[in-house]
Amino acid sequence: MKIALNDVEGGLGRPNTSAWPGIAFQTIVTLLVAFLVIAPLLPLMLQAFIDRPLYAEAPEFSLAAFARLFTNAEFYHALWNTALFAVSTTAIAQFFGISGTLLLARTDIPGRRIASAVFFWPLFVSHLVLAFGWIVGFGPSGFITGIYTRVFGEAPWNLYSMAGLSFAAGTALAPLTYLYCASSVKTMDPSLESAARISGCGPIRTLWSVTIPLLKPAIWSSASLNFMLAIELLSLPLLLGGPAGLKFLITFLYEEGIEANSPDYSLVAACSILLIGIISLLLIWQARSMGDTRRYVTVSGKASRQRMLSLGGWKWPLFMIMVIYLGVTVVCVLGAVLLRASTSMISPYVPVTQLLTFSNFQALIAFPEYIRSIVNTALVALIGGAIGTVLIGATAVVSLRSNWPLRTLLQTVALYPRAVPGLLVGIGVFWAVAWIPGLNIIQNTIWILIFAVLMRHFPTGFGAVTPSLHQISRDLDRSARVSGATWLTTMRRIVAPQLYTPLAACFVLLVVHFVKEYASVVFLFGPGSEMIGTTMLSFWVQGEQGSVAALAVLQIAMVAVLLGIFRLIFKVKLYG
Amino acid sequence: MAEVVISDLVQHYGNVVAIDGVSLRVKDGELVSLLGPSGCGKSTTLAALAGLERPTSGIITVGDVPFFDSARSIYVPPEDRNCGLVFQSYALWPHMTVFDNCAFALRLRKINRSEQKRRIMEALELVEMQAYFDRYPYQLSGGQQQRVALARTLAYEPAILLLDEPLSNLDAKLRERARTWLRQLQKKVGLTTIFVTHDQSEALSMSDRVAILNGGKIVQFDTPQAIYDLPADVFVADFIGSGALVFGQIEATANDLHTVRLPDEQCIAIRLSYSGRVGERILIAVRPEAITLLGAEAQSSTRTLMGRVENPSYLGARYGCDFRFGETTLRIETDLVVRGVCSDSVKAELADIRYAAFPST
Repeated sequence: MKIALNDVEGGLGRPNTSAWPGIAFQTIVTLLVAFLVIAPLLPLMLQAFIDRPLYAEAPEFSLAAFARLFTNAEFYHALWNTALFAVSTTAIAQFFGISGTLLLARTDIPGRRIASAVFFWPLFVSHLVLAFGWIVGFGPSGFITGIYTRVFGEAPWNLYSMAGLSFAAGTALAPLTYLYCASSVKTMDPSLESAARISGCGPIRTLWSVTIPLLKPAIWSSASLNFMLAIELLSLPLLLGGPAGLKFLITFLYEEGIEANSPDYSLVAACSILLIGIISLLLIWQARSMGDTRRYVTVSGKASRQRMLSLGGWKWPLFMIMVIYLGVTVVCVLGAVLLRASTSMISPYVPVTQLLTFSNFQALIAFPEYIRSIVNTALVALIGGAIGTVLIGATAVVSLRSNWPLRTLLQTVALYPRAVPGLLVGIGVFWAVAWIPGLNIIQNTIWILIFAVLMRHFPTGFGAVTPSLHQISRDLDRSARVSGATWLTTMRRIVAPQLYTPLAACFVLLVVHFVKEYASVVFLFGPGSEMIGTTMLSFWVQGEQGSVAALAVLQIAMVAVLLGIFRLIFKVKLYG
Repeated sequence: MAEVVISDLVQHYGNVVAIDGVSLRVKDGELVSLLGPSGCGKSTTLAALAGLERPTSGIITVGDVPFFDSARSIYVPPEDRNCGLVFQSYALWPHMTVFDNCAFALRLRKINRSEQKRRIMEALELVEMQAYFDRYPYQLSGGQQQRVALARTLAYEPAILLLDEPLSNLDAKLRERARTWLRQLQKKVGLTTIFVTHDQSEALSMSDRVAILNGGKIVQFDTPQAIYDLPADVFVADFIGSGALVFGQIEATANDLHTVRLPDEQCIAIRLSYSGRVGERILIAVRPEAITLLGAEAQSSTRTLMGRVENPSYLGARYGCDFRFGETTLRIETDLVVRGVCSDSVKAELADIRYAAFPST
């Protein structure tokens, strides 16, 4: 509505404005996000409650799938293993992550700069690659196991066991704990520790009774995050647990959904819904019990330098333990991949220098499918990252900086994919594409891959942008509105320019996750829609260890180059 | 330039009532302060005027144009109101230079480039910042940012000017200077201005009229002198100035003059703004400047109090001390060297003025 001001107004009058472009923008963003998130979940929901496949005619409501699930002995076996695996993995990840934080961020342990960088490495590597690394290095026929057996006799470890699997998974997730705790330590007031020391408290006691209690929110949120990640982890349970005969919910779904000749769709859907339900409950419990603690972490302008606690006589023994830990879990595992990629085989009986070869890398360019998987990965990562960044930025401003009536709902929907394991995103997208009329044109193209990886990692990108948006004073928007700018103009001209750096970080984060992605795309893999992750899995099934390793090295190199460019341009590290 | 009329404005946030029926008429070209403790609803009223919050009910009219009218479902969004708002945080857009900050609103109004430049330089000149047009906000001091924020607002000649505690982020000395400067500027430009502050000396020294808010209501709307001399209720008497409220019971009345018995049984005869019945319990507002310490040899009168001097302190030009009788303590300032007179029985005299008084509930 326009009202002419009277002549008393004088001056320049008001600008010509219209609220419609803003409302149209908000509507489109909401519809896009709703489609992205709900389209893959809807077929899963429906399929669980009908008696025949979705594509069949005249489906009838039925709870038979749940009945079949709850009478299936394998399901209980898988449920028990999943619980055991998630608990032990979380415990191991927390133990190493917290110890790492305390040692590297709070004490004068030698070499802590290099060590904390090395500690982070697994974060940038796909869990699939880590699984290969563990098998090539420490598996029953791994080369480190071989060397150990030759020198000391039988190796005391068995990677293909619940303990071996949990250890590998726990150390793979420990960097996340470290990430949460270390950023919490950095914002901590150093005088709290100084006060304890002055009151006569020793360094170890100070860490135990002052530092750790202050880290509690970070410890809890990383623990619940790791627990959920362990439940949905596919690669390690599949590759390490499979040979040991261990079944988990996620591998149960993988086998029933992908490998079975005539899949029981309703059973898969029922089990998926159960899994999504469990993770949703965990997320709700997490939100209730502590709120989102990261929301309150702000950039503090305080320049006070933290004094590192002196370890005294413990310094060198702890240093040795740290070197062994990083040596085994990071250097050996990644080194095994690199070594395997550049040799024709690894054997304790033949010197490595005689086995060096480029043939593994040459094999990658021998077949168009392999080249396509590399090109697709790059395209999915860059195009998906760009689309994702734009949509995430738009979702963030609509849900946090507008009066849009659906803004709270929009935020909930945008964050919901956290509750959906990657494998199930893949199943959901696959079914949605087959089921929703007209959507099948994206089958066997990179667009189906982009759909899946974008849905899966939408919350990750969203979480990277929102803290920065919260830190931008609302007065900036308000003053632009009062000066005569509509909501849309304000977002475009005032808020967006403040978000360049967080949006760039979001883009790189998405690209890194997309390059690493395998769980959500194994289901979508077909001629034309291969990715490095899916090709690695199919090489593995064929026993082509050398090619798997070569692809893994390529994937790591892609991530490393990306992070290097990001650091050069923005002069900041993505993590920490 | 326009008259601002707010009638019966109500703002609820869930169960919380932020504004509870505010009515206000600000004349053309007038500077009115909204003064009150934090949470009294002053900033909410300003946000409702600017259109940043949509009130629950009421009417806002600026120069005959309805900005908000709940009964007729009228709500004009902020961008269509042509108001100017200066924030406590200044809210200069950090990615734009001073010039671009000022140009933003002009570009939205499709003003041509040469006219833009003329207006911006004129506005910057008005706030004495023309030399800084190509700087970025982070290169400016707090005081300079505050001036730019004002220039940015004046450049597009808004219908009314709204100021949300624009001086509270400045240091004490600068704030004094900014008050005079801002008041002169407002008179020169002649903009109807509404000024939100929690600083009473700022409100009293700058405004044509002051509206005092408490608990979401306007408790008094008058000139600074009237508010200081004749507070409308106990809240205003306590909030304005650094005086104290003294309990008493009316013993006798003769015309204006009331004889009041204080809690420690002393009696004084003073003029009161409130004519109570004999025997009624009242509260009397006593400003520090209304009480003078007397030397021991001075003559007593009906307005003389006996008490003790405590907590003397040296203030530079003068001395400060507590004058205590019974359970009542009055903070006073004096030229006497109080360290010498510190004793148990000191005489003090109340000035021969009319005191604001209220029935004690």
